Amino acid sequence: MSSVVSKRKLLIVDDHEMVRKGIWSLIKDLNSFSEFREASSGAETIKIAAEYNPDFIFVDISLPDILGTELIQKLRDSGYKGYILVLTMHDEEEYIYRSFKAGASGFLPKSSEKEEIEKAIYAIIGGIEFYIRNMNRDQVRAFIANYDEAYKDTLLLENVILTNREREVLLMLYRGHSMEEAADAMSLSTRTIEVYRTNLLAKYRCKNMQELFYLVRSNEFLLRKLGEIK
Amino acid sequence: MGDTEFSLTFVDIIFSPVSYSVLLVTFIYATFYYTIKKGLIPLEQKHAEEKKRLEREKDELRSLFSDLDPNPVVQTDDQGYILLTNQRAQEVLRLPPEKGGLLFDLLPEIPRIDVGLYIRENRNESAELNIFGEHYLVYFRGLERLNLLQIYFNNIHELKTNELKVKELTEHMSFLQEHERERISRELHDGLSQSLTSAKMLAAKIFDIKDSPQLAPVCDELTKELDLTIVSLKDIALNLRPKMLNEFGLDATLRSLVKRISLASGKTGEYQSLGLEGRLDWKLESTLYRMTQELLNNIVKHSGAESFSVQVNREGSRVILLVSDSGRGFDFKQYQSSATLRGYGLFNLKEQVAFFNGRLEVISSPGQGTDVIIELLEQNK
Repeated sequence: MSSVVSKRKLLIVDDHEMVRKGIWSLIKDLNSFSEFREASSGAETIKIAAEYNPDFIFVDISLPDILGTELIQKLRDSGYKGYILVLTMHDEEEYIYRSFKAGASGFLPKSSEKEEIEKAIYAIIGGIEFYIRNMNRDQVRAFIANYDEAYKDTLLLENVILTNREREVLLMLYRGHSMEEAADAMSLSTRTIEVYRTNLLAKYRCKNMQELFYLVRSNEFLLRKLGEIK
Repeated sequence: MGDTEFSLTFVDIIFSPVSYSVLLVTFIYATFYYTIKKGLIPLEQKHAEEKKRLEREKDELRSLFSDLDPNPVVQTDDQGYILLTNQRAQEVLRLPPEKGGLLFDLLPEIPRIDVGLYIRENRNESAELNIFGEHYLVYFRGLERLNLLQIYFNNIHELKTNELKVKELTEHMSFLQEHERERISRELHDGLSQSLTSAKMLAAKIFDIKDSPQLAPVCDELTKELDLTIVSLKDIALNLRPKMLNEFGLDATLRSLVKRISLASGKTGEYQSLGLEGRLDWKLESTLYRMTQELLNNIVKHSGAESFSVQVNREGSRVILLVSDSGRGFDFKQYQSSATLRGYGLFNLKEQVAFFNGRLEVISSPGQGTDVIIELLEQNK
């Protein structure tokens, strides 16, 4: 098993030499890689990747000349087909999602133990779509689907949360009151009603109020939410 | 016909009772005429002369005072024609010393007010005007009794310039502060925590080659300690200024903030944005992030809400932030007048909003939750 993977070449991208050496000293006993090279910037990475053609690239997000995610995108655009593992100080989910979107094969925080790095390498070689620490295939898929949804804003109608005042404004406008009347009834300015109206349209992905009214009329759930039916 | 008993002699007429009465009347008239001629008429003339003298004195006094006035002073009649200008007004407003010119023609910067109305109603108003490149606070004072309009010009140019300078300085200060935060955060995050991470890797290495049973628990302890230090360091860096704000922009950072606060507080947080795909101006992104952070801290600390939401819409050069909670709410009018304003951070918010010539609206009532709407303008557009 180890002989199969021992020929692999690794490129470590990080702007701190200590970290690059640290990572190598940590994983060289794993027998996953036979040799490694280092790069400290995005420009260097592109150059070395082209001539060295590593099997694996470990890349940090915060680099001096480019964002790690942009670098991954560039590598993929230039036709790099190898594995890219993001190894970074960041651990916010936003970074994980954006790494996936850029074309990375996995994401690990730098604080990971040796065993975790090993696990990630094998999972990635084993063909997992995207590796996230402590998550199985299904969990990873769910995580990504969740973020895709949030970004594409294809939220289910039932999931849209309305604030009290948004609901009140929608109800007034739906019942045929003008913005001025709604403003009067709620003792707010017309401009404020306008803000609520814009938010409502955004939440339900409607171009105009007619579209939103149609959505309300044709949707039992919404009518119930507004108290129009019991 | 002979002598008649009715014929009257001259003497008869003179001494007749009719003559007495005529004489009496004539005498009374003469006396009356004399009295008026010698007494009342000169008094009236004297009075008129005195009045003229007094008015002249008053005018002189007034002009004397307006000459002493270090600021320009102008008086006009009820039609707006100049009655008087002091030395200063002639110098700085370039008005002629003689009276008669129409003020609005000579100083077209002054709005054409109904001077007659100002005088009749003793009206008192002021306006900020720019005359010959200088800022003036101009007071219009109608004086009905004197039938004139007095106009005082108060030069506030220096004040205005200073105000602008203060605004620029404050802006620069907040810029520096944000940059300094960014620098410290970067150094903590990239420098210190990276070193700690490599130290941790070294510790793990020792752990690997351990052959002494006493070394194992020490290494274990060391790794744990380093882990804790790294976590707390990253927290500090994050609170100073999240790197994400620079790297991925406002949308990602707010989404992440809502998620983080939601997790930490156990409240349901919702985030939604519209038109935020591109990047905003650096300053605007920082400000909106700080404001949201502040408002969410308030919600966690004070609102008692189960859920909250953050919504950002960008329409052209307008960016609208709506932070809403379902909490206990409050009576905003009462709150505004209370001393807690500063404590709750809304005071700072107000200042920042004013800075961007924006709009801040707080909509709240007891039991109805609170909505805060902030509208800022992108400055470079």
